[in-house]
Amino acid sequence: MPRTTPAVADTFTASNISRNFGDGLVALIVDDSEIDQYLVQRMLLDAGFTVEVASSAEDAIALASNCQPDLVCCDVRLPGADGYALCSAVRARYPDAYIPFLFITALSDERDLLKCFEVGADDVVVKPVTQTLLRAKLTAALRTRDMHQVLERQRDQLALFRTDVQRDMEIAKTIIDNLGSEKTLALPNVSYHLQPMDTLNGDLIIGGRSPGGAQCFLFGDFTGHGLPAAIGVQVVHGVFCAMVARGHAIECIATELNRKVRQLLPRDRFLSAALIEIYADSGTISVWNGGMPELLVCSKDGRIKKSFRSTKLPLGVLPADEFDATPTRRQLHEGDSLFCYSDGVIEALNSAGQMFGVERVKLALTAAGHDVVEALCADLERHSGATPQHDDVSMLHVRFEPDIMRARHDQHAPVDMSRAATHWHCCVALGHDALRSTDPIPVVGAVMDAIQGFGPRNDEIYMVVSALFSRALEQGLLGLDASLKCDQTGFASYYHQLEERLTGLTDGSIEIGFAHTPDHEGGVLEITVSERGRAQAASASLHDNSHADLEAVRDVCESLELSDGGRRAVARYRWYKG
Amino acid sequence: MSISTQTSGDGQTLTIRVQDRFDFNVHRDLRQAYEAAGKRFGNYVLDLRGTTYMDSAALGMLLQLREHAGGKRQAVRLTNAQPVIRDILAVANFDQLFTIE
Repeated sequence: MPRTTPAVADTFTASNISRNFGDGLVALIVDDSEIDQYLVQRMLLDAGFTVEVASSAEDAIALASNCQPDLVCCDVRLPGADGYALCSAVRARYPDAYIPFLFITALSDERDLLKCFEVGADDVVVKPVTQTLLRAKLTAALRTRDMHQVLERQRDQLALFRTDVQRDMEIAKTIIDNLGSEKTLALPNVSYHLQPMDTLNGDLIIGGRSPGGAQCFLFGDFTGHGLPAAIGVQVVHGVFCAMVARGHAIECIATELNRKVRQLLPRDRFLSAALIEIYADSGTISVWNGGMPELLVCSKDGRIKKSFRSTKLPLGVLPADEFDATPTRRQLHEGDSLFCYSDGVIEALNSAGQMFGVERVKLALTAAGHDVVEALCADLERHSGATPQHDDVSMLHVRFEPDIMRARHDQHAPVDMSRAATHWHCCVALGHDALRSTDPIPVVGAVMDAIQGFGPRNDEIYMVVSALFSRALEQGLLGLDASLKCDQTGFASYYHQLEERLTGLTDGSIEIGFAHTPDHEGGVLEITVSERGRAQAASASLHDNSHADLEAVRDVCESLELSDGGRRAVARYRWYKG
Repeated sequence: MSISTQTSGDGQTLTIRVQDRFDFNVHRDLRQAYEAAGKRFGNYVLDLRGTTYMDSAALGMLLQLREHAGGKRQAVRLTNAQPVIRDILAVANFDQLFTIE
């Protein structure tokens, strides 16, 4: 069929229809009557269409397969296949395109007309055709087509945008995974569950072991989900791991995290978090909880004996000078366990819109003889069924098993030194005011690392320094009675007094010294901690040289000498070359 | 719309009501509600009597409102919160930042 270009414009102009509304569009006309074919063709050419003409459905199908028409005007009755078949064929050939299909027919039976719509027509014009009505119907059909195209474009843009976002999320997820937060939880006394509702998790759990022998955890929940939360996770992970590794106390870590989150995130974003520090040797647990559901401590026999409620504002809310970093301290006993959960656990909905609730959590905790995290996950799954998850779900279960947690390195295991063992000594002395604001353990640790570094033996050395320093400060300078710490009430009052006396401290100082001497086997590190305060201040327990903390020091050191009424302690720590 | 506002007779207090779910979806409406006035009111009241749910994004929005109001504890009052909403505010310890009535 020949393509026909518009003839000379004639004089017809419908009042509100654009004269050349068919400009740039291809119309396919199908009619076996030459007169009707001609009439419709004239009208479409006048409207600006490029026109292709066919006399049978078969010809029209061939034409339409080669070149997608923008519009089809078609008679119902045709020789061979009818217009209905053509309509179905065009729809099948271009399933995603919107091609207005108008039947132009002499049929007037309602069933015939209805069938036009059933096979997919947009409109029907009954012969004889008037130019005015045809133009009006074509304009309407094209308007729908335009709308369809706009929608299609927007759909495609949206799909593209979604793909972009998804890819960004995947990249962010890879980065977060590579940070290795989950690896830090590979501890024999820890089980956990992290179940993000989307690609990226707004909850995070990080573990760590301080050089002083404490297990430390951060259990947190960022405002919102997705990329902003993921960026926050990255920052928090870095700060937490570095500070734990350097032996910073939980107060310092909380303070620094608060500063960092507030500095980096917009004002309406924050991190609800619990910071946890557990010492295997003493059983002391310190918890700082800002905005997380209560942490539960369960005894061996399945009794909930303690909870650490949120008493602080989440991290990143308060400016540094208003931030309260004071943790709550308690005593754990062998077999106790600590359970933390995010609000996604208790707020998980079932098909009836009911929340999972705290009671179910407590029930699972107190039922003995199973893995709490595993059991709760199963309970949650039963509860939620097919109901979509609307928040990240996280749990952490830490069993207090001192022997497993301690798992110290073999004392005589050789140390693989990257640097040659050298002669060096250093000394840090802190006055009463510096002691209030500075924890000297990370400081001296950093110096030791910078000069020598003892690899896997660092843990033990930190433990020795920490124990001797705590003793010098608490029993020496502050005169606290160490035996107070033996029971739960005394324990709380011990730390209360510690806080109070430290604030009121007006004189005295503590000196920590290292002196290292290499020998042919490895070397000896001499650690000296001495306290200079008013003699009468010192507690009687300073003289008690059988105290448990000192026993731990004796365990790992070659010798421990106390002098000056216990106020000066010299520990000799020996290591062997690999 | 789940956000509606009311200015007190003396023009000193802006009361904002949040109906049904207070979550990220009302972010823009809430912000507009207190920024539309083009000035800072002496007091803001967030009436939570009709609020049934609140997420951490909503807590973030409260922080923004507090900042807008000048950052003082007295500047924003949270009123008529149902027990479930009170619990959420309590866990976050927002009573340290807002007057909760």
